[in-house]
Amino acid sequence: MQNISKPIYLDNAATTFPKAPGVKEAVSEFLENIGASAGRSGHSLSIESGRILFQTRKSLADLVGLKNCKRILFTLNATMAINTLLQGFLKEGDVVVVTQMEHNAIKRPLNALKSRLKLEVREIPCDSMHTVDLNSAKEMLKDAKLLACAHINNVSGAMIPLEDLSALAKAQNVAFLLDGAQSVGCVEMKEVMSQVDFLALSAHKGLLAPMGVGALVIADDFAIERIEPLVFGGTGSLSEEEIQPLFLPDRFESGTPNMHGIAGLQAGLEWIKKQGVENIHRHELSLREQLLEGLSGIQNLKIYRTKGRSGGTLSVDIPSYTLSEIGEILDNRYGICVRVGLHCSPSSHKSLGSFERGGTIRLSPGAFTTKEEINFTINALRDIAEYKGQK
Amino acid sequence: MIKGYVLVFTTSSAFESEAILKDLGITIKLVPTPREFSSDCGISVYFEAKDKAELAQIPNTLKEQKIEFDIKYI
Repeated sequence: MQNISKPIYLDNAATTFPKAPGVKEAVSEFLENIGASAGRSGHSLSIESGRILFQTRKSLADLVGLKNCKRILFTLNATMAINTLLQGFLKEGDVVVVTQMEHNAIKRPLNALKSRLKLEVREIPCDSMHTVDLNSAKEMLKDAKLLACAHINNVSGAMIPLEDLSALAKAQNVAFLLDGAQSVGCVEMKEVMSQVDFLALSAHKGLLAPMGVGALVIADDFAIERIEPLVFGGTGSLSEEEIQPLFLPDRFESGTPNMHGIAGLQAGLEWIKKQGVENIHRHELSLREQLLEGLSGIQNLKIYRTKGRSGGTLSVDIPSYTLSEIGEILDNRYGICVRVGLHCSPSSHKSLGSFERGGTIRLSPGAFTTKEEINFTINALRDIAEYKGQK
Repeated sequence: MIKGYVLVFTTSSAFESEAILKDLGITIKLVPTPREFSSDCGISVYFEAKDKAELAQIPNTLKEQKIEFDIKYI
């Protein structure tokens, strides 16, 4: 094995690292030279802060093909965006459809709401390659109010058939919430806001920006009054009134936003625009292909293959070790950072068949992962798997 | 020279108006809303239009972009 000078980071599905060039500088510039709260004062620093907020809203809107950038509602992360929608849109007795491989960001709020609102939650079956059963989906969407699912699975990398599900939901007048935590910034999504009604996203994953910023995106034609805010409070507008403003984005954005994080997000968005999302996706797919090719045929190593389109993430396992042992060996002996276990997504593992085992080894390359790093990882996994049972 | 303020209801609209009017080449500046004008937002767009033709572009363009606003002349 070659010596490595720095850790190989293959945990981009949890959070991307490193961040895009320019992000650190933008955060630092904000903290050192701007610092003021956006939209709260009329002085020059507050105005500059507000400009950054507006520009970032516009850049995000451009990325996802949204016309009215005021329908980008900033949150702390994708989970909060999902909660905002589920808690603000669902009413007593509603029917919600999800897939059998959802992350806890969708499962947990839905389960919490299930008894409170007497919801009926239907699960579209998925096979062990994370393929969604579209015939069942069609049946399950009958009389439903909302379809909620992740665009790219965070365990296997499988991508749902978005166009097909969108068509089925539209045909039955079912609103569609897409969890884009694993796809925004990694997959071209210029058309997405014509395919779904709501998109939840996170800045710190595919957008290569700091943690602590997310957004709920509402489609241009969706009647906003159908959604109640999750958080109420000061907005910098209508200060003489003690009730929440009705207009956007203020209706859903109370309290001081994470402006240095948003400044970093703007830098991330600029870098991604320059690179081209399709090029980033192509790069990540090529690394996944390299992993698939290099790991195939290794004795004692299981690959969780998927069918159809995907992101860059791939799950594997070496059953002769415990998962935590593999994670530790990869880190301590080879300097490779991966996440092992259930990845906050027990449903995904149940459908993959890896739940009883306690999960998988998740390899998630990112925009800055190199072919050499993937090659090193393949060799490391081969060494571990073929160690003939000796640990 | 015709001077005045575009008053808007949200800070987002103020920044949106700034970007739109800047693209039109009109002399503008974001400023704290003067106390004598009623406004729901703490920031307004101060403008200096060269003539009536340039002035007319302001409401026309903002309406096209579906921004709610009021104009006060000084």
